[in-house]
Amino acid sequence: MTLNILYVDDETDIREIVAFALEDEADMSLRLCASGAEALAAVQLQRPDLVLLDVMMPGMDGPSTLRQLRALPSMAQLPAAFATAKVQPREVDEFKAMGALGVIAKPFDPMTLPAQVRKLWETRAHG
Amino acid sequence: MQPPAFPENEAQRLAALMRLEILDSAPEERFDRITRLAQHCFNVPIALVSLIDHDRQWFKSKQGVAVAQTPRDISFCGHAILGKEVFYIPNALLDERFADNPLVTGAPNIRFYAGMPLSEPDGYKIGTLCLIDSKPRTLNETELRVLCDLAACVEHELGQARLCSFALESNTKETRLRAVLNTVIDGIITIDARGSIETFNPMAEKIFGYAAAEVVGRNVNMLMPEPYQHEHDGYLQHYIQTRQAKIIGMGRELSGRRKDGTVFPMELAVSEMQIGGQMMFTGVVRDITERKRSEQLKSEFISTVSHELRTPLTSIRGALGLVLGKFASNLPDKAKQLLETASRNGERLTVLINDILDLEKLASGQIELEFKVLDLMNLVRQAINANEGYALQHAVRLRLENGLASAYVRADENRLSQVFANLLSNAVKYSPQGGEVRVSVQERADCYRVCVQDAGRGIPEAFRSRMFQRFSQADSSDAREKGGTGLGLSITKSIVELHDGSIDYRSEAGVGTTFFFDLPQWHEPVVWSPSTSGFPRVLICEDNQDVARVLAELLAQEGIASDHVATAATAFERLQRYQYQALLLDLGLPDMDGLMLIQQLREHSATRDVAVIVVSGRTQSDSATWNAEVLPIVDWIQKPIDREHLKHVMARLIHPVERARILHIEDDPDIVEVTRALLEDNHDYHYAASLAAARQMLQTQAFDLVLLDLTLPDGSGLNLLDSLGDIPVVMFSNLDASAALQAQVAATLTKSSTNRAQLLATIRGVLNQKGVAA
Repeated sequence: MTLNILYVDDETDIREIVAFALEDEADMSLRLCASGAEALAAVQLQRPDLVLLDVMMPGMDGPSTLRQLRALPSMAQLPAAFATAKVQPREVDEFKAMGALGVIAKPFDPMTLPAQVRKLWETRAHG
Repeated sequence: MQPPAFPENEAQRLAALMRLEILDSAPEERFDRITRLAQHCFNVPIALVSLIDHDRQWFKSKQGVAVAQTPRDISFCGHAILGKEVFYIPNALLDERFADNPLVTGAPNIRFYAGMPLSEPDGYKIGTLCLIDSKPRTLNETELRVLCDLAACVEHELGQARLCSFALESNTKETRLRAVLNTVIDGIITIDARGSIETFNPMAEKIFGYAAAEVVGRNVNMLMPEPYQHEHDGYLQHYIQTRQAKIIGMGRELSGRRKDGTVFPMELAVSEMQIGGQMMFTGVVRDITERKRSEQLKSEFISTVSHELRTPLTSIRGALGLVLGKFASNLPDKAKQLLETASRNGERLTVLINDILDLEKLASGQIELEFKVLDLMNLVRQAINANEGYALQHAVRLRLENGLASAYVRADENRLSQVFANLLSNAVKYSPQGGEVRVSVQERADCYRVCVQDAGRGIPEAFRSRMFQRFSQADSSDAREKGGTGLGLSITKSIVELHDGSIDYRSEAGVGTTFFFDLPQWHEPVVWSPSTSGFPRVLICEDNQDVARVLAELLAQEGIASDHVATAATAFERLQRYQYQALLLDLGLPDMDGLMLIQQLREHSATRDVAVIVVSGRTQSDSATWNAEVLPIVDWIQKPIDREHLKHVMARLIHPVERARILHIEDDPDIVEVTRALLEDNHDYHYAASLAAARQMLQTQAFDLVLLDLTLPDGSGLNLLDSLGDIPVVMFSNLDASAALQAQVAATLTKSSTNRAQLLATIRGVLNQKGVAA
């Protein structure tokens, strides 16, 4: 099966890096959004399997975006994780309490990014 | 001529004279009026107040002479101070001691002299009031008495002089002190034992916006926001009665309230003092609004900087990583080498930013450690595993040299792992190729010592004082050669100290370096509740003492006694030896996972059937490996604990089938009403006002518990005991139960000393014991 990933980040460069890092993965397909608002529209066009969210974004930040996504019809269980530099244990706990699967720590290693994404996805499968 | 002798106490006498600070002072009318009076009274040309200094007599007041002083060795007064009475020479020419005295043979041609010694307040003779005439004369009794009286007047003035000098001195001191109080940058407030403000310095006026006149005499609580405002009087009283201090004697951060109502952060230090038998308190207040604001700004700044730095770094690191990872084979060697340099430095910048953030958070106390009881040995093994890869890259081996079976400490697992990572990576970096880093854990008096030893080149002794400072590396080329930020040891030290531990090292050039840190030992708090034989009893296995206490209190409210242990091993041992109705089990225990304890319990016959209730922060679904069918439990209560849920589970566990039927035998209608209100929601409550009525009800109905008064209109409640069979009885009476009686009933309570909660808990306990729904 192909894992449909929606990556949301306001930084063009980082979106590009993510695209490069995942482009060779045959079992992943990636869509990119530059803001929470774009993400809200995108998930309604096509439901992704996993949403990866930057935390600090202008306007609607990552956590608010996740809350709004989950409030959409049939999105309450939408699997999501954050890609952030906020990786203190307490911060990670807070993200998990919001219903996120976990965190991909920034700056991330692009060569291991596919593996990190798969690992997050597997957490969900077990849950 | 005979010069005057020195008195025996001359040294003290002179000291006393000096204390008066009167020698060589200006003439004063209060002395002059006495010498004038003496001059007229006795009709003599000369009257003096003469003070005998070391080698002279000096005239504090003089009538009839021009000179201010004459030598002591020719003085008459020098003789006079040797006695206590008037020293009286009617005609000096006829006295061989004075006949050839230059004051007799020359001016002022003394013939008659009469001097009364003057005592200063401590009794030393410091001089005289004396009369001198150039003609011989005599004094009668009355005249001698008048001279004594006038001398007494001089002595009185001398006493005053001393008081004045005291007053002057203390005035100066107070002025100085006041000047200090007025200019210090702290607000200083004194209050009395009732909390009434006595003084309020200018800085306090500035901080709080009140003028001193507006607050002096008023209660100091006017300067506090709620709830302190209401609590302060009680607190002050409590302190005066018990001496238990919350603030007194220590400094604290609190909130203050200004005149305009705004509340601001302040630092307060209070000290107690006794002034004239009165208890007083001095508070030193510092407004820390600015400091708080800058702390806030700093932390926001750091958080922003960290985000702003890491965002481009994510792109740089990502781009370099992708080029090197995917296209390295297509790159010329030189280009690849340059990209690797860029990539390595990107990594270094990332670590540096993380370290700076960490250090900042540690220094500002923004990091709250998550303390848990951990086995240091486990952590050491994990750390060695985690850092083995890094060591292999440097061709260095990590070895656990000396360990203990277990070493429990209270620690933050993540932070302590960071300490190990830092010490191990340092040791690896500075070890020679093929070298070995040895780790050991030793037990010491009150702590465990962890040592990390390398065989590197050692640290120059000159570097010791800077060892744990920021950006310090013994050799400035190290940063480039060895990597690392120079912040690691500083972070490590902060973390160890937040664990109430300490860190140090010893090093020998060419032999190696050993870093060691000590952490306080943790001792398992094992709590046995007082024996309440027969009551249901539950074992709580929980390493967080606060949680255990809350659980124990909740259980006590339900009439369930509990014991508390903090490790799986102690819980297992306890459950094998004693009967418990249930085990309340935390999962994150220091020595093993709680789920493994369940497995262990199920494998042993003595503990196979223990009812287990998991109380954990983990959810049941988190534990994928756990199989409820193989290891059945009664329930899973998730933290934070839902009290109602726990109550419900416990009630169901300790046999809830139906509502218990309670017969209350009591003739006082007020007590019946109160007890009915307390019990009827959860029990079938019935009452009988006499022994006769009770007997009738007991014949026709079944009851689960009897609540029995002793003094009833038709006899003592004791008469009923025989006819109650095995229905448990709770004695609830005004009389204290005898030991013999206590043995016959399930529980005894005295009305006057029992509150509603105790009554309810006792009834529940007795019912639980019997296995009826409480």
